[in-house]
Amino acid sequence: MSVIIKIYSQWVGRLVLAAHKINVWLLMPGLLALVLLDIILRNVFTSSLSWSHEISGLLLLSIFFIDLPYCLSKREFLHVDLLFSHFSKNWKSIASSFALLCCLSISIFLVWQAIVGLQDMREFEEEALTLSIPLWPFSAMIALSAGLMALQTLVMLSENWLEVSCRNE
Amino acid sequence: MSDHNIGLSAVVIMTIMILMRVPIAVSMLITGVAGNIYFQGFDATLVQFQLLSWEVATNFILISLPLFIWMGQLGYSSGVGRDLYRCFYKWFGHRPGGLAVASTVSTASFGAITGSSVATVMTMGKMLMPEMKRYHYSPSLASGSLASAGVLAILIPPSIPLVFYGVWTETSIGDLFLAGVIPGILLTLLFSAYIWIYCFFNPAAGPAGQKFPFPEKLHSLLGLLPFLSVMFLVLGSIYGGIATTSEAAAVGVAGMLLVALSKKRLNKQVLSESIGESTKLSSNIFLLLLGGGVFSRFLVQTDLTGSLIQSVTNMHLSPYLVLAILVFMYLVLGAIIDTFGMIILTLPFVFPLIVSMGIDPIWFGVFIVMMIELALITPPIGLNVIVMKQVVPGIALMDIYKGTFPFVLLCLIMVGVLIVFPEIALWLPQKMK
Repeated sequence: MSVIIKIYSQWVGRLVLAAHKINVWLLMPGLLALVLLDIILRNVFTSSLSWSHEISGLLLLSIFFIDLPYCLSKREFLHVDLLFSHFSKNWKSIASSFALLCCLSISIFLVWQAIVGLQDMREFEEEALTLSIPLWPFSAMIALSAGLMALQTLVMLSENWLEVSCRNE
Repeated sequence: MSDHNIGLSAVVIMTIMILMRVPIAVSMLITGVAGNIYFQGFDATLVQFQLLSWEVATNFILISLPLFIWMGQLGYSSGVGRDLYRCFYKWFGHRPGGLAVASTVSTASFGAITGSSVATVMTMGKMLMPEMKRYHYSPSLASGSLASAGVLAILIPPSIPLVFYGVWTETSIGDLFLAGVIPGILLTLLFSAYIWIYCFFNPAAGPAGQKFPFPEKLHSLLGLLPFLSVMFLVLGSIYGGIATTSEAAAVGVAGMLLVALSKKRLNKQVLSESIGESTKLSSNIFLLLLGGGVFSRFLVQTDLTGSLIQSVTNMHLSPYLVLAILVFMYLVLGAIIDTFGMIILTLPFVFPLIVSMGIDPIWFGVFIVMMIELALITPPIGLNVIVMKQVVPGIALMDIYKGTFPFVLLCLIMVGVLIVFPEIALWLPQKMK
């Protein structure tokens, strides 16, 4: 059982890291380049890209959602340790599992709303206001990122469960 | 159960979840989503959530967040802090306590670039603590002054908590940055004056350092160039009408990339780490903003905030008393919650109250950041103190807290002065208009 969990955890880890690298090497530099280009065009050539704000916003949306699973895997979400540090080992496991279940529910809710959004966007052929690009791929990206977050939560839950079972043995 | 009681129960449940170590944003999302489902039904909540997440995540103002963090991370890796310290040390180091003053001023300046207290204390602490040890500075004064100077990072622009506050409250970030300048400089001067006076009466705590000839001092000013250029690029582009506040962050990143490149400190690892830190923190903050947004929409339906405002209005409390209560509340909250958590958990209740009392949102932004500063150096969490302890493991945590205590008092005095004379924060934004 632990071998299966290990393999599953490695695969999810690779996917999470790959998504993070897309942010690091593609989306953030892209965002910087787009904003700088717009400033230069506006101030030097007195013309501007009418779509730059909207596309920057969409890039930002992607950056935020894509890095959520990575944040979770690094346990970077802000939390309060005030009581937790005084818990016994068993209570710590229970509290961690509870926190992870909460993350899982939110991930599932995020996937759900993104899929509903995706269907609507495809049905009504929604596009960006200033550029003729469809919006549904962004909703699909939210669904995928949130799905990856759910998978990462399951990794952490199973690791938690393994730790507890090892301790009990 | 009345709507009002449902709201109160949700706040209690959310608090329990947070204490159970559920991430703050997730706790707010779960209670907010559950509350909204109760009031509007599942489908409407789903649509509202979708609209809100797109609205928050595509908000153009928010692009300054990852970009300013990236700029700060580049500043962290490019060695700007060392140049700043070398310059200030040559000018102030020969006086008793001069090394600590030089450290305070250079930490405040470096903090202005990073916008992050933790990054500032981490960089400057690693670099300056061995120097202070070499000159036999009292460990408590050395570590306390450094941990405290780190807090100035989030008050002097560009400041990440001010961006966060500005986005959440829809207050002009440019004005918020300007409002932080004078209190930030005053607090730096206050910290420096305290160190000088303390070392004047206790010379053993901060012995005088080496004296440098005037030409060498003049030459050291060159070390200020990278810092001044980036600050000039960021603030100049905003107030020179070249870029908006959000776009100025991109100008700052470009400037910092050039600085790192000119110092031959730009490589694949620095780029990857700086961008990675930026996307990670930005994503984290985004989830907090989303959680805060969902929870606030739920609160509106319970009318809990409205009742709170009504109750305070009926009590006919003076704004001074309300602010004194808020100072106390933030001191307590700061002991258990960190920077962004403190802002996002309190703003849904406090901000409407503040606005209803006629208090300027820009002034309140500076006030709240100053309260966060206090939280960073007071026990039991005191993030800056904990970071300082990691940087210098040889010092007891209590010694660092003992060292930060006078600076906590100075911060509180500054908060008092700011309450009595709000013009200190508001004069510059008004003048620039």
